[in-house]
Amino acid sequence: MIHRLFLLCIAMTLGISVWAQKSQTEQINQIKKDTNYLYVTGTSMKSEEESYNNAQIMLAAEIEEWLKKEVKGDTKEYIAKAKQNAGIIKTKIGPLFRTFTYIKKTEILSGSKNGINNKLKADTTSQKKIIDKILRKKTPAKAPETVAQTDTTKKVVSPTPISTTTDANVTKKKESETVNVVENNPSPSEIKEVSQPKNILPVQVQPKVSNTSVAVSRDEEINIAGLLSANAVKKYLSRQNQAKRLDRYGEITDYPKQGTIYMLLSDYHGIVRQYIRVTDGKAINLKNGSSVDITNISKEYSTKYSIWFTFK
Amino acid sequence: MNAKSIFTLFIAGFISLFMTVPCQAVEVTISDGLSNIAVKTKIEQSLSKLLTEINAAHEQKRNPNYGMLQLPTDVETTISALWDNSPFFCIDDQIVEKCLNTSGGKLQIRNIPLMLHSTENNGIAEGEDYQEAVVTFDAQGNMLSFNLTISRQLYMDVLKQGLDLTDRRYRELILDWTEQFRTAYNEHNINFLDAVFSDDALIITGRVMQRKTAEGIHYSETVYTSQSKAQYLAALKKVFNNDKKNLIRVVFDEIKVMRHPNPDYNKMYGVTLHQKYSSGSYNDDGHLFLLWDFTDEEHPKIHVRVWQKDRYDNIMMAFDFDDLNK
Repeated sequence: MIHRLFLLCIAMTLGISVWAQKSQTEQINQIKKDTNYLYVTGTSMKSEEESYNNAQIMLAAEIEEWLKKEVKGDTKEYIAKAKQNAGIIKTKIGPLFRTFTYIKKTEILSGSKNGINNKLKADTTSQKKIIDKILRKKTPAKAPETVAQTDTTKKVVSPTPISTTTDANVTKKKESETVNVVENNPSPSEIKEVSQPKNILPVQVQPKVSNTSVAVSRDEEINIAGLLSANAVKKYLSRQNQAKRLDRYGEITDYPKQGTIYMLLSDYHGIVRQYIRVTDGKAINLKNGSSVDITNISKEYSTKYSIWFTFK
Repeated sequence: MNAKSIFTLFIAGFISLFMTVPCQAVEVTISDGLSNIAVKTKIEQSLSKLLTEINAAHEQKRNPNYGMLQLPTDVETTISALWDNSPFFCIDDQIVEKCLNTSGGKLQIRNIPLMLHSTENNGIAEGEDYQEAVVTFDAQGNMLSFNLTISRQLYMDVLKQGLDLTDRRYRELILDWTEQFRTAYNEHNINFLDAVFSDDALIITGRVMQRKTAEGIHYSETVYTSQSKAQYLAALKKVFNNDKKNLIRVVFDEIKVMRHPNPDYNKMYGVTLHQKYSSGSYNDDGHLFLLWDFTDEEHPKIHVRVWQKDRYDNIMMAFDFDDLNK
């Protein structure tokens, strides 16, 4: 009797997993048939993680390609926001891992517009608190200008759907009941849309501010972990600032104790030796994921060339 | 037969339903990009039939039968050549893809997922390999070509490099042609190589020679030779003719693409590849630089083809050839 029950369980397990796979494939095909979505499929013969990473890279390229027709100017914020809101379906066929990731076109544009409007209300007061320690020595500090709401929204296309007809009803199940995990990262903090003179970093060096800073994608962390010199770090931060992704930065003697911050610790020659992400006091080495003790970093590393920073 | 045996047989049959892979009919649906219903239906049906026949041939361990498919000779030749190296099948029973419009009014269906079974004779380790195919049609829906796209890993490498190939259409164009260039060597396609090299192309080949000093110490030396297009193709034809067993294999891994920095040459792209070449009697591992000219996207040309042993040994970059009119 037990033998029969065991065999029955095996048969049912196989049946359910095949049914789940078919169900996911149908869901994927439904999304592909709907012209309201952008989608890509990342693949890998090695690992699920690699297929996921490939999908993220391809999705960014796909969104950028599409945004060329919709938006003029910098598209990086739209892409970053869209990647965080994208739906994901992971499947495996034989040795092949596949990550199907998708985003509704209207979400790419409408999410960013909401962020811009809300942030503009906060900017008026926050601008008065802005302090730039490093760049004040080189260029005169200048308060960033508040952008009129109409100027900002010129960049954003009205978020009406591209196509109002669909071939089929699409059920976007971000919390999947099937075997594979469907991930949907939480929305990032609001986007700051303030035009400002090029040389000024609107940085707040306030260690005890609120924990609105966020972790960036793994791809971006890999980029950070590839910065070899303090000079490269400076150029990187300048780019992030121009892309309006940089939030705050400062010397490692006085880093924020809340939120997610990144630390790049350099030696006295200006060569970066440690790449760290700190989240609510827990420090992780970006290169190998191991825990890091940061209690004595200001004694071990150059305070001149080492830096912490946060993203919006 | 008692109840226990019947039950066991039932369970075994139920399990086997899921374990076996039945002959997989493939249904192709074009989701977007083509408004002409007649052409759309024609493409969907012809591609569905082709992929279904490929799957049937793979399952039955035979060559594909093109009899009922009415394919052009080029497509049959390409599929047969691929099949000789690595029999393959389509891993999805439903393909839903957009139809892309290329220059010259052609239509393309990309991202067709294939699993190839490579064998050790190819110089590649035995096993399965995932590749994607791209199929091109004319404006009336007649199939023109069936090619594999460049490997996903190289494609990801290019995406990560990003900046010079932000235009997806150009990215795919350059990578497709680079992959066809590689495939031409494997398939002995001298006509393709003749068409793709410009008449005044600069071609530098390298050959790794094994030497021995008077003291008996073995070492390898790379000998570089500059050749005209005619000389290069004549020598290559001899190599192809001697390769009766189809042992020539060219593999690209690592790719770097750079747009020519001179705005007057903005349709020129320098592609640097890490190439592994093997044949029955010779093999080498080096870096290949190609300067592609996409002024005529339908008929791109290679103006420079340089092979060198080491990446950083006087590497040829696009801007070294700034004035091609001299």
